[in-house]
Amino acid sequence: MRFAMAIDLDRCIGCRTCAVICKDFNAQPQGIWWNRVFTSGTPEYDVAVKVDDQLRMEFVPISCQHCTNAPCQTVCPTQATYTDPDTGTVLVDYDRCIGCRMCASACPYGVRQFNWGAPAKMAGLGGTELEYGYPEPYHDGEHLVYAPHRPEGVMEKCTFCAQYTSQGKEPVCCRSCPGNARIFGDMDDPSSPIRAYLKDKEPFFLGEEYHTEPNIYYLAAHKVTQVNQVPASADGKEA
Amino acid sequence: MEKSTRFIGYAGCALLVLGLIGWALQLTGGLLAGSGMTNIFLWGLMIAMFAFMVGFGAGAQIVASAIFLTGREELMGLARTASAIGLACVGAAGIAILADLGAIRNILFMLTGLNFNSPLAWDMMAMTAFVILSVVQLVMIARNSSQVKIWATLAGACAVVLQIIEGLLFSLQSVHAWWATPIMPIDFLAVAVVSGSALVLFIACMKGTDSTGLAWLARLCAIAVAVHLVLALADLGLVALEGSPVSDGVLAAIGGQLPLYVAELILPAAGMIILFATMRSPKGTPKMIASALIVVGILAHRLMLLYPAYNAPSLYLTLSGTDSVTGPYPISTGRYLDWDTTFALGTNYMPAPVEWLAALLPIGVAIVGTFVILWAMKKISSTATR
Amino acid sequence: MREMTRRDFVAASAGATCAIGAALALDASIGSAEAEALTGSAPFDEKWIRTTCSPNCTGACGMMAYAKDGRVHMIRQAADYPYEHYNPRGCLKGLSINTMLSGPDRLTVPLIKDEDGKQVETDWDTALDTAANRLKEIMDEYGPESIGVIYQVQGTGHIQKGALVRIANTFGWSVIGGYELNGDLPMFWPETFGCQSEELESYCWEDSKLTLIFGSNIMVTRMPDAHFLTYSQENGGRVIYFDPNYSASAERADEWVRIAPDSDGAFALGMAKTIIDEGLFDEHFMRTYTDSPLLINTQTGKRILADEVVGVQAVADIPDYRSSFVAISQTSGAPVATTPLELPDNDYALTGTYEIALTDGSTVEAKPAFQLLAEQLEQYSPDAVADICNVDADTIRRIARDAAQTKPMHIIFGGGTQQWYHGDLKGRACALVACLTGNVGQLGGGISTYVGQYKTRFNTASWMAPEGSIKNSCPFHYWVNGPTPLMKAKYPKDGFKAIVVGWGNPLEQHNVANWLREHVDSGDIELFCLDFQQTLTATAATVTFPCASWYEKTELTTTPLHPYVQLQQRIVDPPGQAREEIWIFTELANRIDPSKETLWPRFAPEDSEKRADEVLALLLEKGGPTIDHLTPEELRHGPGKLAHANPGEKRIPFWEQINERIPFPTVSRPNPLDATSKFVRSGRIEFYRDEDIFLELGEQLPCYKPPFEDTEYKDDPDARVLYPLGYTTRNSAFRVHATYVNNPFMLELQDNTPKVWLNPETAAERGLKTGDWVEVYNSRGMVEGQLIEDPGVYPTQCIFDQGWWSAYDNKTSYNSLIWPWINPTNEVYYIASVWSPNMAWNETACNVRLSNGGAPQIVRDTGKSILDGPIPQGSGIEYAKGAES
Repeated sequence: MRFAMAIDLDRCIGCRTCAVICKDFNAQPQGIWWNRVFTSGTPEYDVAVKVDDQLRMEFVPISCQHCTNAPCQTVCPTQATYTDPDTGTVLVDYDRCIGCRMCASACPYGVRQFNWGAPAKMAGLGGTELEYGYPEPYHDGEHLVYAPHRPEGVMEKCTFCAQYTSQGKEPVCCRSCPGNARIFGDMDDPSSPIRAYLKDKEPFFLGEEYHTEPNIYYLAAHKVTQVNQVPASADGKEA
Repeated sequence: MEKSTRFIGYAGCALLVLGLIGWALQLTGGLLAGSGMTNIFLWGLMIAMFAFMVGFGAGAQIVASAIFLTGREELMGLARTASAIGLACVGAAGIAILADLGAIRNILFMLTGLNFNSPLAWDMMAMTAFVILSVVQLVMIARNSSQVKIWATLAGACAVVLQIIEGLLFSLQSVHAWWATPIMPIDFLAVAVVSGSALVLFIACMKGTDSTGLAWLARLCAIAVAVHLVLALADLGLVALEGSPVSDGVLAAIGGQLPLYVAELILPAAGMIILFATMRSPKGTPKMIASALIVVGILAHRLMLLYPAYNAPSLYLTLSGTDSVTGPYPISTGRYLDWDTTFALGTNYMPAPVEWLAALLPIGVAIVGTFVILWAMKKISSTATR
Repeated sequence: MREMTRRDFVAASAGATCAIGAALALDASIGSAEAEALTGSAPFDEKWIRTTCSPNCTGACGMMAYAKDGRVHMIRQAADYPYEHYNPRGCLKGLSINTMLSGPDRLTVPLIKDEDGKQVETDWDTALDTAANRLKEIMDEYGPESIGVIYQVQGTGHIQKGALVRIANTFGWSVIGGYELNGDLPMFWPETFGCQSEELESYCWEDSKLTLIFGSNIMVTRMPDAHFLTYSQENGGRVIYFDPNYSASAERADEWVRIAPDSDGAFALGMAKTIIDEGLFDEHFMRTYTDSPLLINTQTGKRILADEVVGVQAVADIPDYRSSFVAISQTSGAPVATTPLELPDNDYALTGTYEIALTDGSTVEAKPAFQLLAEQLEQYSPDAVADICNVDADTIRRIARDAAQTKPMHIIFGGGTQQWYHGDLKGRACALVACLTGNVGQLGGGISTYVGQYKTRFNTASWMAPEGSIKNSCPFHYWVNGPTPLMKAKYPKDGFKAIVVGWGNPLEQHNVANWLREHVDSGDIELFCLDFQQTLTATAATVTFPCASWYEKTELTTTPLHPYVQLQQRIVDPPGQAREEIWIFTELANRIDPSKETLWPRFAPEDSEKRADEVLALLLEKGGPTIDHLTPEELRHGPGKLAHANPGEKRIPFWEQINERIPFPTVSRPNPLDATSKFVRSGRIEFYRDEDIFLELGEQLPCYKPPFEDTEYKDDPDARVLYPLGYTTRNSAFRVHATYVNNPFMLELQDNTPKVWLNPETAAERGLKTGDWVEVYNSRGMVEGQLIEDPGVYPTQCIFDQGWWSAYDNKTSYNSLIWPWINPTNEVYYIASVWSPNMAWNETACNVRLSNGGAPQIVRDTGKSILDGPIPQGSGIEYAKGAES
């Protein structure tokens, strides 16, 4: 099997539900985001960007691309980062990671998140700790690829919700997208939803100049015709 | 022992202790959480120290090997010291890497299940090889063996390989345009020669080595600086001329640290000029000043490895379906609680106090290590000559 | 049409994963038999229980929650709506509410104010007795109508929340209509159609071939429904989005038209003129369903009654809230009486000038309303309108032709455009376009407004209107403005003395011009609050009752956006001493007046669910034809679909009027039909209003009036210069009003920072740039925020994302700038939440300057955990726990 995900930018409304449910379901500590959704061209949410004399606000969700030629895996000295041969998912074994951060340094997509210290706790009722997320650790074979309580000093990132895909379910970002913009499936299976969705379409990839062979297929959005008589100077600088 | 040497020894011990305290604080008080690093600025002062130290280590060894190979009698004593410094500094560099690890408890997996594709694995193997060769070399030196030249050459060659490998460790990360040039490994080697020769020159001046020796060292150092500056400026030129969004980001990041970048160019250049000017002079002081300037400049250079790499975004998006580049894409900093933004394009990295403290560790290890190695060699010498 | 959805992952042949999937019946699976080859993990499937996420967003999204150790640990969408395209619903906010349900801001103990005015924890008996006694005192001294009730909001709860309505009706407290309080009552609806509001349920959007969106940022404010617009586009439909500002909805539309702020009405009038001039309008529709043919006495401006005309007899047996008017039959050329009892095909004239002999002996000039409309539209040619709207005339013509010739065509008229002083005029103009093009009453066509979860979709009187109900109500506008000469609502003789507020935060959200805070602080008004979060209102109340959340009780929800009735269910127990509202109100009612026990039979708190079940059964059984086919048992398992009048899967608003010729209006529950029918006495859609005030203001027909002239600039002519920007407190993607403001994930995404958006040029004029900490101010108040330059913002606008508790914003409140103007047209009649003064949030002028102070500490120290970690305890605000300090 080769797990892959299609993200249709024409359906994405930039709501960030995928990023939040990813964080909630996978018990990501405060500060850590495996999945992020930004407007192309600006670090500020909800701001329009001038591109080719038009204002645009395209949302591009980016999380681990589960590259077939993953630079993070190449550089990991202990093979803590590895590709699951059954599914093509790139995973991190928390028990093997030495916290050197070379994988994060090598990732073109900036998706790897490091536990710089003991994960900060979140406040619950009456001074207790708030817990959230999938409540049990998950092992792929002998590799610890998910744990609700993160070990200190190890790297983490999107696992395609390994705890779920192993049950035959799709990752929570795909299931939860209110716009139905994320489609998951097995690229080796012609009848899979992702193959069906990509049929007769021309997907593109991010970071092609880095030759990582990502497995996240993006679909372009349509152009927006605009009737805008506000003078160009008021519309600010080019992006 | 001379007073100044003793002072250095005590200083080294103090730095070692302080550095250990710093590391201990990082290990207990939330590992690396007390640092200024983020998921954007992944390597900081400690890795800069690693590069800094390994430059001295490999460079000192190369200088020592050169001395042994060229058979310069007046510098033999210095070569012995340089070799010891070589091992101590490389060891210190290794300590620096270990001190920077988030989960050092898993370090044994580097032995069981090593990933031979990883530049870090190559680095570990090269460092190990160097340590072994260096130890043998040092024992040979201590025993005044005839095989010194061979082992020194091997150790020197290994030092060269080590620098190339470490240069590759950076340059193979195509994500960071500042590193991803073929110049990087060569420049890494050049900087090692610069560092090593400057340090050895400094010590030579302190020990009152004669002017021929000083001149030889000074020439070596000055030429090495010249080579390095040419390479560094070539690197800058490549980036400046590329004109892509990524390279523009690199230039902006350099601009954001302009004082530091200027220091990395001007200080060694000044040192180099002084050396060329005072090459034949028997006086040690100008050469020592030059060496100091060069060393500080190299420290700035090592720090400037980081900013244009991490603060230059690697992912620029285009508006889908068009060729229009919109801009770089923010990254989650991972440092929400004690930070100002959750997502950012760069990090205004300033090492935290505990990082400064811990950074003293490799320096302390290098100094104390040198003393220990020299002492051990003396012990071996005395048993050999008995 | 892309038919493949998440539910269809399993290809027809791959049944293997259904073994797992079948147990859940509803989950998507990857679609391959090899999934079983992977290392399995514990599914926890049998432990997920369904409830409904219920803030006031109209989402009403089914959620499944997994409980662990008595707390909600994980949430996912139920995604079990029978109409597949509705799935999955849900959004980032509701899906992460688990961080708040047992977060530090949760209310778990009853609170009362001690003698020093300081709030202290107490027990239920003390809290209930204190509240009951105090309320009784106020009732005895000032009358029950002096107690206002804020109830947020209708559709989100009929049982527990409904109990507040029931107790208000029991004692005669004044219900402050939430719909108009929130600014959501789109007055053009009752003024035109005679009903409270109407809308297509969102699954009709996919059937539209052209959607025109005015002032509704659907992609942000209707996240669960937004994909239906995309489906419409994938089906070959087009979406045109009108907004002065660029937004996510502009990005997803096919065309963005950047109209000047508040000029939507002018644009629609320009469209109407084009459609009429080019003969593209649906004559049959106008003649049959609207007041277009009804004759107006051009001298008096009044519609002519049949009884007034010589030789014409009014239609017989019409109720007193209806009238028989006059039209000209084209066949005979003579005036005939029109019937308000049905809408038959006819041959009435739409144009012309006529001489009508009246029974009082005079002869008057009369014109059909359509004729007057056409004359009115003379001043709204595309060229004239182009200047008002700042678009070119050709765009207006093009879109007008498009709208007339593409069917079905749907106009979405949202809060952003309606929440202005002349929002009703704008809406009437857009309604005109919807009618001229004959789209009302068609699948995927017509006009809709989407704001709050206002709609009563079945008869609720069985629970909410107990025997002997005393129904009082009064809009909040009058609290602040004081009574006005034209008001029809009943103002308490001594004014208002208390508010009982349920599930709302008026000290933040309705604190216009700082009025409410001042009156609460001075003791003029006492608060009694029910909530599950510790809001500012909760901390300022005389008595605060901690409630169960949507995961902790049985409650019944509906929404205008979809046809499903859903339950909230008790997945975990309410934490601490929090209790279900049905018990709280039962106790309160009994303690205020023990004689009410028959209406409020008492029960132990642990029997709250049992009582809620009884009320649920009652509501369903007695709810009328839309709901009485549903049973509690089926609702416990999933959504139940409301019944509707028209054939076919999807409800079509006004279908009965258009197809069965039943007269307008439709019912606006809980009001009986005759209460609202007088708004359109003719039984037709009315574009011409002949009440005196409309005539006085020149608003008898839709027209354009610019912003601020009748409000800010009239009040203070200097405002034109001092406050040249329009202030828009838009809805944020990260909150539903102020709900979720303290959600840690939402805070992280925003760096705890309230923000102000300005066009770069507007910022530059003031020497401001992105990152500056600024003040938005006018003569009434001020709010702070971090400036963001955004070229997408219209140069004359200043935007603030509302919903920030003032604790996050140096105690400043965005509502302090806003004044609740009363438009006299809104006072012609009064029915709570149907015809009432509406909050025009956007009708506010402001300016922006650099703040002298800096960003608040909480912005500088982004959220901190109170637990041990590298962050010292007590530093920073723990998710607004320090709101009272």
